[in-house]
Amino acid sequence: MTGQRLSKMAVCVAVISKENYPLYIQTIPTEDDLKFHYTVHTSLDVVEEKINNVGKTTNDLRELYLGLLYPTEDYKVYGYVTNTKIKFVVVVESSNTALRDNEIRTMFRKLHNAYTDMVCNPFYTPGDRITSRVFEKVVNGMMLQDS
Amino acid sequence: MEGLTLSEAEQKLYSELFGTCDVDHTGRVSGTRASELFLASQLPHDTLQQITELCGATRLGHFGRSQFYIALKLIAAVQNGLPVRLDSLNTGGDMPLPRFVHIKGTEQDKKRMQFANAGVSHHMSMEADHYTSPDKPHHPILERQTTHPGVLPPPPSSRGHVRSGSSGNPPHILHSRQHVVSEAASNNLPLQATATSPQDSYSSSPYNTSPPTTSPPSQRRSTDRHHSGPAATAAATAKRSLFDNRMEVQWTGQYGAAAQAAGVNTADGWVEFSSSPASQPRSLGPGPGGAPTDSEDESDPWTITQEQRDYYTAQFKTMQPDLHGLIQGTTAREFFQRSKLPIAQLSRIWDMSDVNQDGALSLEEFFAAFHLVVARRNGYDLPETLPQALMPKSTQPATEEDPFAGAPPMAGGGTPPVPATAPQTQAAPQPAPQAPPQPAPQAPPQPTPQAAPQAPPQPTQQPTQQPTGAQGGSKSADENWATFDENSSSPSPVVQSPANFDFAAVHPDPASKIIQPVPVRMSPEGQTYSDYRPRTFSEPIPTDVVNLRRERSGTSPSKHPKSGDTAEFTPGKIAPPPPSSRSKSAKSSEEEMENGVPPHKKLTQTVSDTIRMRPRLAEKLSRPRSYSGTSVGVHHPPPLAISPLAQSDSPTESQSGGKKEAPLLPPPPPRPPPRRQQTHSRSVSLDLNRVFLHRDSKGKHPAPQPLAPPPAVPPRHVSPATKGPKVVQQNSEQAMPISPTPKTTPNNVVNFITAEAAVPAEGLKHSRTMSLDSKAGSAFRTKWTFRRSVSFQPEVPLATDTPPTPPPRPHDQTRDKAEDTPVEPPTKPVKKKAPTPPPVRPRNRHRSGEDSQKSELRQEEPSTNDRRRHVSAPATRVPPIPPPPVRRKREDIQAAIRAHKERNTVLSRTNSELQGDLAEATEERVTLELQLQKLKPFGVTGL
Repeated sequence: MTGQRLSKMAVCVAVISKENYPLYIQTIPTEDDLKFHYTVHTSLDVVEEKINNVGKTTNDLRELYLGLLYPTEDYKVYGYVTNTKIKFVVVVESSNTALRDNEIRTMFRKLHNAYTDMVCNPFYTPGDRITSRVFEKVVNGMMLQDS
Repeated sequence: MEGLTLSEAEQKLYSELFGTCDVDHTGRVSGTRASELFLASQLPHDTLQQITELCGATRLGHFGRSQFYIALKLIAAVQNGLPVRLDSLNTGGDMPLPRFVHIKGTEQDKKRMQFANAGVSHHMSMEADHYTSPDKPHHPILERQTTHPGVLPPPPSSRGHVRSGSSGNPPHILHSRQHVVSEAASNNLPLQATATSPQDSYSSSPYNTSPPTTSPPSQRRSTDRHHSGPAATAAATAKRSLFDNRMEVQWTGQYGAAAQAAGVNTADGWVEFSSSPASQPRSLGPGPGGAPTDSEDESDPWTITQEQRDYYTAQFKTMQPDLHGLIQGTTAREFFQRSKLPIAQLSRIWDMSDVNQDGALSLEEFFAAFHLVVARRNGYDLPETLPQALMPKSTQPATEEDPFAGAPPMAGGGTPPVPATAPQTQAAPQPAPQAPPQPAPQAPPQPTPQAAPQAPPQPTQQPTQQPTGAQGGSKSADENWATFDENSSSPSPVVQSPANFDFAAVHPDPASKIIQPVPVRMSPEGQTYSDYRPRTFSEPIPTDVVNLRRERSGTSPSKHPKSGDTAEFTPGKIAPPPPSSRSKSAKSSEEEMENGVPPHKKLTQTVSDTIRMRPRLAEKLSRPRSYSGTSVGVHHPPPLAISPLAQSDSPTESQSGGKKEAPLLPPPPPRPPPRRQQTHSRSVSLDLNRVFLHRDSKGKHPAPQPLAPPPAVPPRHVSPATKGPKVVQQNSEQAMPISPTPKTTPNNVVNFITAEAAVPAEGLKHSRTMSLDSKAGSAFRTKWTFRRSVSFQPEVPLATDTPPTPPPRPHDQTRDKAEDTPVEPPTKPVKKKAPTPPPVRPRNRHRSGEDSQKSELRQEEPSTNDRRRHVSAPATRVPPIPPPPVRRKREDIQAAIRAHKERNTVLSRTNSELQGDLAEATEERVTLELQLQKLKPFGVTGL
C-alpha cells in the first residue's frame, strides 16, 4: 500500500470468532481499510468451506492451517482455524514474494500462541473483542516485521 | 504572545486551567487566583514573580488568556530546568506540561495533576481550587517526575508537599490521605460504602492509603494515633472496599499500637514528610516518584516491602495454601475483581503479572498482580510493562521469602497479624498442595484447615481484620472477607511439580470448581501450558517430553521418576485405541498383501477416532507437523513413536502387531531409551521425504509414506534404499514388543517386502515375488534374501563386494535367530552399498517377526546400526560413506545422493532452527521443541 511494502509481513490480520463475528481486525494504516474488512469477510466463506471439507477427509483432521484461501490481484488471503473454531485470517500482498508458505505458517503459529496467551487471561471472556495489548503488540509485530 | 506555539495537549490543559481560574468568565484571571495556581507548581516565589513579569501580567494587573498561557508555559519550562526567559518558550517541540501539585483536591484530582505531565492531557478538575503552594521549587523532582511519570508518588499528604515516600520506606502505594481524612474517605475512592460514622471515616482514611504495608507508622501520624486502638473495631464495622479494609485492618493491627507508643512523627522517615509543607520545602524532592536516586532506592513505588509481601503472602494463602502452588485464573479473577477496578485494567494487570502466561498466578506473580492492583487502586497509573521490581525473580515461586521475617521489626508494640497467620498457613500449605483427584503423591489435606486456623491464631485486633477474622465483623468488611474465606476453603489444587502431567492435574480439580480457562495449550506449538513453569523458565524436560516418555515408557516405567502416575496414565489411555486399529489393520493387512496398498485410510480413521478420544495426544501428534516445513502432511514421525496410535498409522506395523498386540497391549512394552533419537529428530522429516520420493517414483506405495518417519539416521549413510526398510523395521519393532509370538513374523515379512519393493528399483520385481513366497514362511525369507542378493549382483556386477554378500546372508538368517548375529551381516552389505540395503531390511524383518525378546531387539537395533557403521569403518572403507571411487556410476550416484541427503539434513536442521528463531518463540519453547522432536525420532529409531 505504501512505500513500506517491503517491510510488511501482513497488511491485515483478523481474528474471527466461532460465530463468525470479528474479534479483532488490524490493518495497516490506510485509507481503504474497509477493503480489508471486506476481504476478510469474504474469506469466511472459503474458510467455512475448507473446514467442512476437512471434516470429511479425516486425513487432515489436525491441520489447523488452511492455506491460501484465495488470491486476489493485490492480496493473498490465508486462513487458519483453531480447535475452538476461532479463525485467523491474514492478508498479505501478492507482491510480497518473501512470504512463502512457511512464513505464513509461522505467522499463524505466532498468532495462535498470542491468542492462547490472551485467552489465558481470566479477565478476558471468550467471545469478547480482543483488546489485549500484548496481543495487539504481537499482531503489530507481524504486520511490521521486516522479512 | 503571538510567538507562542502550543501543542494540543497544552492548549487543552491551559484552556481548562484558565477556565477554572476565570471564575467570573471575564476573560481575566486575577493575580491572586493565578498565583494560587502557580504556587502549586512548587516553583520558588521569586521565580513565579519573574514569570508573572515576563508574561506581562504585572503590567496589566491581571492575567489575560495570552498572559496566562505564557505564564503556564514558562512554568513548564522552568520546571524542566530552563531559565526563566521568554526564549524558553519556543525552545522546542515537546515541552512537558506544567505540573501543579494539588494540595487539597481530592486524591483523584491530585493524581491527575501529577500525571498531567506525563503528556496525557488529563482533564484537570480544578474545581477544587485548592492549590496549596508549597513554595519549594524542586527541579530535580520535576525531572524525576518526567522520567517516571507513572511512578509518581502519592500526592502530597499534608499539604501536597509531603510525599509519602520516605527515604527509608518506600511509600509505594501509599496515598497520603491523612490530611484529607474524612473528606478523602468519602470523596475519593469508590469505596463500597461511605463511612457511616465519623469515626469510621476517620479510621479508614489513614489506612486507606496504604494497603501495602510499606508505609508504616508515618502515615498514621496523628490520625492514626487517635484511632489505632478503636480502629480495629471500627474498621471491622465500616464498609469499605476490600483493599481499604484489609489495609486498614492490618495497619491498625500491626501499627496501631506501635504508632501510639512511638508517637506519630517519630516513627520513621515518614515523619519528616508528615510535617507541614512549609517546614520541609524539599519534601517533594525525596518523594518516591520523582528523584532518580529515589527510584533506584527502595522508594521505587513498585518495590514490594516486606510488610506488603507478608500481607500478599497471607492473601495468597487464602487462595492457595501451598506457596509453591498456583492460583487459578478464575480464583484470581474473583479475588481481584473485588478491587472494583475495571476489568480492562485488571486484564492489563494480569497480562503484566502473569509472566509465563499460564493462566495462573504463582506467588511471585501474585505479588506483582496484587501490588499493581493496590497501586492502581491508590491512583497510580499502570505501568506499560511490568516494573522490574515486580518481576518474578526466580522461576520458582518465591519460597525464599520469609513471610515472617519482615513482621517482627514492623510489629513493634502491636502483634503483627501477618506472622500469626503465616505460620498457620504455612503448616497447612505444604501438605495441601494438591487436588484430591490426583492419585499421585500429592493428595493430601486441604484448604479448609487453613481457613480455620488463620482466624484463631491471630491475637488481638487483627483477627477481625484478617480475611478469616473478618467474619466476625459487620456487613461490608465481612462480605469481602467472607468471600476470601470461601476462596480459602477451595484452594486451587493446581500445585504440581513441573514434571507432573498436565492433564491429570487439570482434570482432577473437581473440588475446587475452578475451571482453568487455558491450562492446556492447544496452540500449534503444541506445548501444554499445564506446566506453568516450563514455559517461562526453561526446564530441561518439557512436559510434553515427559508425556511422550510416559506413553512410550509403558513397559519401562522405571525410567520415569513419576512412573506411578505415568504408568497408570499411559496404559489407560493408550490401550483403548490400539485394539480398534489392530482389528482393522489385521483385516486390512491381507489386502495390503495383495494390493501392496496399505489400509491406510482405514487406519487413519481409526487413528482419528483415537485422537478424538484424547485430543491432547492428537495435538501433540499434530505439533510435529507444524514444525516441519517441508512435508506437512507426511510428518507424523513423533506420533508413531509415541504410542500405538502411531503404529496404527503404518499399516505394516498394525499388521505385524495386529493379531497378538491387542492382548499384550495393556502392559505396554518397554521401549528403548528415547533419547538416542534426539540427534536425528529434525532430520527425520527429511529422510521421510526422500523415502517418499523413492516410493513415489516407483509409484507403488504412496500411502505408507506417512509411516516413514522412523527412518533413522544410520540408514542414510548406508544408502537411500536402506532408509525405506529401516522405517519398516522401526514400525515393526514397535509392533514387535507387543507381539512376541512368531506368528506375526510372516506378516511382518510380507509387509516389509511390500514396503521394500517400492524402495529399491531393482529389487521391486524380486521383492514382490518374494513377498508372495514369504507368506509361506520364514524359510522363504532366506530364499528371498538370496534372490535379492543375486538380483543385485547382476545389477551391480562391477562392485567387487557384491559377491560376498550372498553367502553372509544365509548366515545372517541363522544368526538372526540369535539376536546379536544379525548385526554383522548388515555390515557386509554396507560395504557393498547397493546390495546392502536390501539385505539389511530382511534381517530386521526377521528380527521383528521372530522376536519374542522385545527389549533386546529394540536395543539391538540401534546397536546394529552402529555396528554397521563400525564394521564398514574398520574395513578401510569409510563408515558413513562407503562408496569408493572405483564403483560404478550407480555407486557414485548413490554416494552423491547420500552426500546431498546429508547436506539436506544439515540444511534442513539449520533451516528449522532459523525458523524457530523467526517464530520468536521463547528460548524455552525452542528448547522444548527440539527436545520433543529429538525424543520423537528416538522413540522411532530406538525401536
